[in-house]
Amino acid sequence: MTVVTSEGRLSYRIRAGAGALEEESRRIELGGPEVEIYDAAGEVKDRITGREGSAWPVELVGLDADGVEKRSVRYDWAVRGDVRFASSQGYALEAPQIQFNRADYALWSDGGVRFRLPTGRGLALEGTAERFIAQLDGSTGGIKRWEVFGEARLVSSKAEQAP
Amino acid sequence: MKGLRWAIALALTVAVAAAQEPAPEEGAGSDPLADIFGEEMTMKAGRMQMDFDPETGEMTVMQIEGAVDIVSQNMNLACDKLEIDMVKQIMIATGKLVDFEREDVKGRCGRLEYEIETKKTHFTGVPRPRVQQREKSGRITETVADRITMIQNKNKNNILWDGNAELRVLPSPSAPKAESAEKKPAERIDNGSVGRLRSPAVDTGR
Repeated sequence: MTVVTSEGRLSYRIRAGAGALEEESRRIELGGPEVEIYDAAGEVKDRITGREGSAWPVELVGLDADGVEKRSVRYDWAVRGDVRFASSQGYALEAPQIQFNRADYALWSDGGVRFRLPTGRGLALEGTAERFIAQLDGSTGGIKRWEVFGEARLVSSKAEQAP
Repeated sequence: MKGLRWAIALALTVAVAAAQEPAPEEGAGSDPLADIFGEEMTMKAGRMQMDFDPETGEMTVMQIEGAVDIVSQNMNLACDKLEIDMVKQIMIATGKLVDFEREDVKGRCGRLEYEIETKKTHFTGVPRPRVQQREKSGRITETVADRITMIQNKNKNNILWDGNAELRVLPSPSAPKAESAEKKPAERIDNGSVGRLRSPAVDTGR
């Protein structure tokens, strides 16, 4: 099953062994053996894989340039089970589950996250934490803010090394 | 009298060394984290937050809170809160007790400010800054003052102090007791004398 959604620059493709769409809620359930969500704009860039996943619509309300209320529906998503996230920007995550929350444009996860985060200056921070939140930039998709909670350990190392 | 002469000689030595402020060490890496900590660093904390420039992908500010404990190639640091501003090139550590260790220098204070570019470390706050420096001879010089500035150079650290300064010379832990290990009482430095000993051109880093 393949689901393709296009949301401006952040269009992405979902691939899964099985899928179900609940008509009323428009919630999509994705089944294994492997679920994959990746950037559908040209080459595969950001990629997240796991054993199962869900995507559900969220109505966003905002104002356009003329101050007129504008409503749109976007999908939040979550992937569960040995989740691996590899970003084109070089950061990488391994976690039991990773969720994307479109309202505040954040990736987040609870429980045993391993991460690698390049500083953008030739080094990377690697570590583990109980929880992380990465706030993304709406136009570039790049990380704006990265928060790690719990007893975390960071080791600076060369950016090329995998987590 | 002998002790007083010795204390004046020591103060003169430190003042002269301080007047000859060294140029910042060259060859520092392009990553401020590497400039501060070296390429190996382990950090434990309750919460860490890193802000990035979304355009360039470069980290701009790093904030760390809650029992911060850093062990690194260049320094060890423990504090309650740490902020590293990569743009302003400054690191500020604060807390009930900021504990700092770098090679032969140990420091304690309530607030530590490290200027990445100039490699100056300012110890201020409560508890009163206290810096111990082990010299090559093994002798330990302890400085207590309202504000202490350490200027880091390749082979030595120069230490400047301001406000209610006290200077103690502690015996080397390994020195035999019969010779110089006899514990000397702390000698209070007369601030007026210290001021006269200092060159007016001395940069106190303030």
